[in-house]
Amino acid sequence: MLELRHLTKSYRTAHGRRYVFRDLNFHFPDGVNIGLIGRNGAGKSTLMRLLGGIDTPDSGSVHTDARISWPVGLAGGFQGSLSARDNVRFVCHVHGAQGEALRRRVRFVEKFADIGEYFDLPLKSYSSGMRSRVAFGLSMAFNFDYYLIDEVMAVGDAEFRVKCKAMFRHRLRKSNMILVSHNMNDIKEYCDVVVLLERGTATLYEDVRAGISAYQGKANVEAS
Amino acid sequence: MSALSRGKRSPLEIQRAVLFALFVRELKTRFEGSWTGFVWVLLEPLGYVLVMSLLLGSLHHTFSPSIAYPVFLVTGMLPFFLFRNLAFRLMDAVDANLGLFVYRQVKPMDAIVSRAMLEVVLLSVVYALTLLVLMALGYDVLPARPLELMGVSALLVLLGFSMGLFFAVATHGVPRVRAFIRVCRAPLYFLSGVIFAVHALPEELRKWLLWNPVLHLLELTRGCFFPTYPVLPEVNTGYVTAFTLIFLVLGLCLYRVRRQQLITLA
Repeated sequence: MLELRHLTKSYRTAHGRRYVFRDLNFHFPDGVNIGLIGRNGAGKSTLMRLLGGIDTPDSGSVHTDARISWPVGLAGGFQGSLSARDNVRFVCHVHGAQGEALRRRVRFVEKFADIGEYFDLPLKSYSSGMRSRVAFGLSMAFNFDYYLIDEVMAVGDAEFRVKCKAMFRHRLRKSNMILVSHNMNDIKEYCDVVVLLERGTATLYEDVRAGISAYQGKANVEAS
Repeated sequence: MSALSRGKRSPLEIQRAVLFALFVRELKTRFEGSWTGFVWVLLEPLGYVLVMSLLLGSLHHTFSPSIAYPVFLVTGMLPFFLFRNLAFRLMDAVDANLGLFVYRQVKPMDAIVSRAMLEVVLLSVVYALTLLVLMALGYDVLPARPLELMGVSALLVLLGFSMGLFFAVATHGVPRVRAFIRVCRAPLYFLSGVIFAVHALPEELRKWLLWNPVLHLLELTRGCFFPTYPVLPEVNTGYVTAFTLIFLVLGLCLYRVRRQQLITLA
């Protein structure tokens, strides 16, 4: 069960307080993969941060009994002056994995990322593709009920995408994901339903195509 | 079975795991992955002692002949370093770990506390090692009142932590203020009575210097080491405690208010 109850979230800006969500109620359907779409600034990343427990709402709550991953994206999650190995070890420590469990996860990420000796070099020397390999592999090393994936696959090469797909198929037998992407092919490929965010509201589309055309239709109308 | 699915961890377990993980991360980056960095941290105080003893040793002898200058210097310098590292290094602890706050278990306070833990451990080792070196050279370095020394050192750590916490939270997003605070480091070194005995200074000047709480604590430290050391009569533990508590309370309140802004890049 994953629910938003009377969720209000605002940020202070130079032009005063700006509300991203105001008293939003929403029930995420169970057991499906959810694509989260919307224009830039619609609140996709904010919602991911709220679901991931990084930000707290001004009022209301995210109500859930599921284990939710951290938002897996390119922006954060790593300490640049440490190697991928050290970063993976850090995340294992934080999540309570020790000893053999820790070593197994490090081996898993190393194998999945497949970036050779870069795995032991500082992360700030990585290309964005290498970062996404490590970021994605790291999240897959842990068992969650929901994986929050934010545009990670967009920068990968063809081979990496094949690998992601295989990994997803394996993981998604027991887990689900919430995918933020501007790439509608990814949404079509991985998601069962679509949630469209606009002007502080969330609309559920059971039919992925209908959701995408609703999003693109609006985008086109506003562009013309 | 994975560690995650084995059931819920208690808040204490999570807190301990996070502090441990951050401590390891701080330790790894503190020396930039090289042995020279580690050696420098160990030898920096000894190098200072050597240079300063050569420069000022004879001058010092005319003021307080009962205490050997290297010992006098070390008992001021290492407590000062401890304070300095806490007050100034904690300031950058949150920014340095910005990427790690995407894990819901990791909060800015954890970054500040784990960095403080590392500095205390590190400086304690250097402190003890430097005293041992002086002892091997034949100086009398054993403190006359060890328990009191521990109390004074604990207050020093708390003062450094409180100021570091306050600076970290108050200057978040205003790098110019941070640069200004960093500039104050060098004058503070001279105004805290590290390299010379303050009781040799004229009274009008001393009156002003005594606003500095670090000076009080260094005086007390030396009083604990040497039974013959003439601790300034104006030295006041109450003043230092009040100063510490004010910074601690301000720092904690401001942290509470700005905890959301702290995890985002300003």
